[in-house]
Amino acid sequence: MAIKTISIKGTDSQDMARQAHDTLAGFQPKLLLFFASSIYNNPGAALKAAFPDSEVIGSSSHSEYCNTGFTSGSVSIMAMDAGSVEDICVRVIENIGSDPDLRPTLEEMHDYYGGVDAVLSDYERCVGIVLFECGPKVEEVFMDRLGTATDLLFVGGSSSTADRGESLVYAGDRSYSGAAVLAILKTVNGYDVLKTQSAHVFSERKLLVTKSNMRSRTLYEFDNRPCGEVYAEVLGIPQEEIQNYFVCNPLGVVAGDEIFVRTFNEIQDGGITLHCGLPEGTEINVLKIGNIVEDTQKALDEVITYQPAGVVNFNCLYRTLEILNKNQVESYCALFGRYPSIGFSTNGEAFFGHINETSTILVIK
Amino acid sequence: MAGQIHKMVQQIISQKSKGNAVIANSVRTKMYLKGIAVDKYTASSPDDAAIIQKVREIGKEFGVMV
Repeated sequence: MAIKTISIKGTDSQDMARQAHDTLAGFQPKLLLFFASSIYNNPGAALKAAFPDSEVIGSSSHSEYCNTGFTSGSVSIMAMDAGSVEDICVRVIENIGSDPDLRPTLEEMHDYYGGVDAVLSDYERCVGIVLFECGPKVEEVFMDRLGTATDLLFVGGSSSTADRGESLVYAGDRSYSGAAVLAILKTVNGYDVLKTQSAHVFSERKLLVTKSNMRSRTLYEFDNRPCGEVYAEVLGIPQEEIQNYFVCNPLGVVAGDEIFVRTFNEIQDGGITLHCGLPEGTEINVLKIGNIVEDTQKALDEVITYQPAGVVNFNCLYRTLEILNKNQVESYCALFGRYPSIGFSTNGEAFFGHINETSTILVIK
Repeated sequence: MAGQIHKMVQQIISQKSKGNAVIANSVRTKMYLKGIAVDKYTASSPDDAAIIQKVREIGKEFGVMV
């Protein structure tokens, strides 16, 4: 077996790592990818101590998915051996809030595999994972820079937290705040990446962002008019009621067949803050949220027409709360129970850019 | 003059992707997220100096001179 997925609840990180070691006895993982409830202290260090010959990367989480299970206070682990992953290159970018130049790191990662041409000639097998510590709120800028520094696809998400504990990402035996973990996997049999947002175009009317602050994630104007006024006009509602529609009618950048969702945060300082900045000049549509379970099944079934080795689901915390609210957890988890899979409730998802209210999914063939 | 934005966008996509259709699609998506609605610009779109400058800067980021 090339990939094993396990869910563990330990009395502490050491107990969790010991259980993982016992469960994976005889299996020699090259990579351990884990999502640990933030109640655990230094879970990465404990796992690295238990698996010294494996690369270990992960993120803190609010709640975790593993196969058909949805839990909190647990650690979901995907262990990949040489049957699924030929090689892994991991780097950590610290202090992501300072807008670091990603090119040297990406060059180093490309060189690890023999240079950019060699990596691109193996495009069907090489894929990136990005795990953000969510604190700095700069994922959209980082993903923009990452997208110009490499042509490889990177998929991932931002850390979250349970009721207690810190938001962190992990690499090797260290924990990081304000950082991003990058990993390039050379898979044995290839990969697929998909995203599903269960959001559909509500109005075909395109709105041009004419005034915004990308860094503070604040939107001020559409088509040179106050954004709240135009948003209300599109929905056909009084402007004083717009906050009631923020969750059900987010915004989206529609690029061909793909929708990149931007969710609202709150009305503030004469504008509306979002969970992802929008650059001026962007055209957006107002969206409507659909049925998460139905749309996820459709997205999975369209792409995964084979038995995958493993599936990693970066599922927005909003979506987790929505399926909990609608009592759809069991049917949602049943979709992923068809494959060896892990996931967690993210504070933002990554694929080309930073996205909201979406599930980004890495499928290892 | 018309069509310059369309021409520049297509140059960036083709030079950056070097014929790889998957990368070409990735570059298109990245341009959308940078605020350039790629499909909006055709050979008859009027030349807008501000957009032309923005596309030029995006090209530079991608290492493509247009």
